[in-house]
Amino acid sequence: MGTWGTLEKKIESAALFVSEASSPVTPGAPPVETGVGRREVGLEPDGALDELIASNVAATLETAQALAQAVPSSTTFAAWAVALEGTGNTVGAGDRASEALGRCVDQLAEFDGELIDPLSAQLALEVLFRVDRADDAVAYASQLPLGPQQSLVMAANLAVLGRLDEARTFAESVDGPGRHSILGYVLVLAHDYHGAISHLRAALRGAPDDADSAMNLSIALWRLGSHRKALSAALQATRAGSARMDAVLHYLELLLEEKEFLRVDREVGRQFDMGAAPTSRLLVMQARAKLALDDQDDATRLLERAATAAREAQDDDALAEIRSNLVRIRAVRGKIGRDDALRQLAALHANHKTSDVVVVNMAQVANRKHHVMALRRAFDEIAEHASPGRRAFIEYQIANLLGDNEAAGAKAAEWVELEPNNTYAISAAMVSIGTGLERWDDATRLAERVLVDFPDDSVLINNVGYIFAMTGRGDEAIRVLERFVEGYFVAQATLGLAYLSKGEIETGMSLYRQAAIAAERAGDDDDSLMTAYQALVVRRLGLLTTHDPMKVRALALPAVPMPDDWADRSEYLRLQALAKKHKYLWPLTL
Amino acid sequence: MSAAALPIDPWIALLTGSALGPYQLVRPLGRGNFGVVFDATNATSGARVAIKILVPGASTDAVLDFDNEGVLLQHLDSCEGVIGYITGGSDTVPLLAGSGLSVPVAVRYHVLSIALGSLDELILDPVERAKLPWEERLRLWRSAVIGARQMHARAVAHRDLKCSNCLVLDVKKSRVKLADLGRAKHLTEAQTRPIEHYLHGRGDLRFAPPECLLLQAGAEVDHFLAADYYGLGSLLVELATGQPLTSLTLGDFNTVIAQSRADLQAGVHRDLAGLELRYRSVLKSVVETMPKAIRKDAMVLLTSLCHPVPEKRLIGSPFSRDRLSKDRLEWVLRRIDIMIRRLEVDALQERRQARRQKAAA
Repeated sequence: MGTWGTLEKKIESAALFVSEASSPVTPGAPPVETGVGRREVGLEPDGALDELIASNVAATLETAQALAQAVPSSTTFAAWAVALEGTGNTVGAGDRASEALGRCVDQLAEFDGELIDPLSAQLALEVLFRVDRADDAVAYASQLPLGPQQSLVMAANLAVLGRLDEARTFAESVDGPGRHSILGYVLVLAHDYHGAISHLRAALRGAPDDADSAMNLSIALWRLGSHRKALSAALQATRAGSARMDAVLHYLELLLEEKEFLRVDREVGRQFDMGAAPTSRLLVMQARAKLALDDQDDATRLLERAATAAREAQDDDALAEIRSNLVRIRAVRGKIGRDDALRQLAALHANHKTSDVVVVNMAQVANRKHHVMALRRAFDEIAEHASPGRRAFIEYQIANLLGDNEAAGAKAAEWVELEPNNTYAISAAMVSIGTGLERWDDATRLAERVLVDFPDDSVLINNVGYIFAMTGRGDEAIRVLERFVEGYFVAQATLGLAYLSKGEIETGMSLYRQAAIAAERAGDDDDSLMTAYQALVVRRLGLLTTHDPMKVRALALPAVPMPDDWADRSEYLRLQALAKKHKYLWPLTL
Repeated sequence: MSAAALPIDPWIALLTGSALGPYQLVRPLGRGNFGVVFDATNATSGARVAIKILVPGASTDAVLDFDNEGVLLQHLDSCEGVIGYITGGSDTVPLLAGSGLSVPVAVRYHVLSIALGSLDELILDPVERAKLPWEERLRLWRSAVIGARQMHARAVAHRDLKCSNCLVLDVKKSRVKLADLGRAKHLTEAQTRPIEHYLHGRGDLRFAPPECLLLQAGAEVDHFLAADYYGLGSLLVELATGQPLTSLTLGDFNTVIAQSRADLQAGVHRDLAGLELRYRSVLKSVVETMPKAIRKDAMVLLTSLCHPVPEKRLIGSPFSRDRLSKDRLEWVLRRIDIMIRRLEVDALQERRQARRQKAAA
């Protein structure tokens, strides 16, 4: 690993776990994730149960249909729509729901414009949204004098569909309880976090046990950077709705982000003590804390248990997420080879075609140019529905593996813009914009931000030191690097670079040599890369012209032949591209 | 059993005008899963009765339900809140075969008190429902609560409480009697069906308590009572909105059942308390349809009776003054009386106001 090879190290960390983040929750909707505990008696559903369910579904439809035919009304048609939806007949359900709403509209004239069957209208509107006929719902809603709850139902459902302006109009028309909860939710979705916070706080003042609003408040605060307050709101959500596993998972996610790994372990233990079942998602959280605490054996065991739980729960998304992360962790830990890991991940992708997590893990495992073909093939299949951040990362990684500095720089810049607090993205951008493209002004801006936002991140600070050294700020580079040098040979080499940039050749070269010895002791076998980087920076700093070139060469690291597979490795390809750009001889030597 | 207009049913066609014992079948009143109900006249006394007939070829479940209803109605004979059981029996009716020959077919029947109709006939049409004064709705609900309370006192749970199973006897007195006891259960009797039947329950899913849709219902006494409390709450929701509560709260029941089936397979138990917010939100919509004077009390009653967690329904009154009461439904009746009184006071004030305005004019 060379003086500037830190990006790879950061992305390959076994502590990393690619997962889905919490999304804002729709207030008042049936919760997707409620708490789960163990059943006292396990039961394998058999034919008798399925027969009973089928018979109940049929009886429900038969009764609802008979009543609607006997007493055609908005009430009975809405009920019929629900019964049809229960049988999976979404077209019929939508048609009957529309008829119910049509009858509600017809009744208005008779009752002085009053909606006399508001709950049937609400039921029918909800059915229309569930069967993907939102436009019909909006059209009927515009003809009806909706009450507060019906307006909030419209707002919540439209917000889920991303029709935020319409959602906001419906929510703002309500003057009563529930308004703040929905408006807060809509504003979180619209990324207006400041606006959302006041509404969500108002909602919680009215109903302190409103776990939906507490969770949405937590998300808004987090995105504004108020991490402690976000944690506090997330904790409130878990305690307000003890049965809400989505709130617990969100809270754990934030604790992980805040590097409160021991608290994660304690909270998961608390959930188990309270009778929660060891679901895949809870086990994953615990495993992530163990990974971060470098307890990789325990973490791997937990992930294997999580995979079993996900398989039993038929949770395909979780299964793909866990298995792909397990493969990546094994590859990073050297338990399996990269080619083998890529093959396993490609097979996983074939079985989980829509999981972008699997492809992200492929991108992280890929470290050779020849991996690009498989990665690109998988990426093409998920590109359309992958999140923009993930898309930018994978595209960056493809460009990086190909040694295409221009594309890597552009994609890294895009990635860091989409995920400004992702340290992996920042690291990638600093490397590819700095070294790769030599756009030092842009790289310096990133470095300045890192000093403020991530002053304790040794990998990022090492990169800051590099950028400062290359931009004539050697003293600052030395100051920021000094506290990280102990036991971290990469920073030691970068410190050497900082001294070189100040013209202190002997000190600088001495630090390089010490770093090379430490790297060798640590089993790092990329000394040819370190040598090549040294040759590059000596040239870029002009040391061969400002100092005695013989002395510089004598003090420099001895030349080491490049590995046979250098043309398959991005770190060498990046350097080769730079050498070509500056018309230096390749391989780079002094 | 609904008294709604019926599609042509061969058994109805065959039985109309026939005699079963001393009873002359006059006209069909309704049709259920185990047979048909007729308006009949006792040829000797001239008394009008309702006759529930188990049609030949009914499923085993239907036969069990029919027998169960007969036994329990006799057990509850002295309960005025439950439809009266007069007698039961069997007879043969001639069934015309294809060759013109007549084949005698045995049918079994229960003879029950006659009612004016079922409660759902008053609420399925929103125009009719809007005409039903709230005092009257509350009195109807009160009588259903009394019926359930009497059943519980005689160790029987109804397990299928809904407007269509409440028979209206006398509109002026705003009284209903509970009927359709096919799925009722004597609480001292042991489990009689496989566990699956209790996990999911039987019947129209729009009325089922959430624990049934989540495949978590139990077979203990408290589970049956909790289901009845939910049914009573849902009955008020029906009177207010025309829709049962589960239909309003749980959305697409197909999705809920599929998830619950996967949970069952994975051996996990989803916490019903996670539905609390959803229930609260829907109940707010429901009470919005009521007169302001009773909204607060209705919310308290519905929140307690229809709590998504069955055990929480059994806690009883949130009011300290009710703590000494050992009867779990007494506080409900007291609260309904308070609500009726509030409406009466409001109505009185409205009348006074109107008189004053008239006098001033």
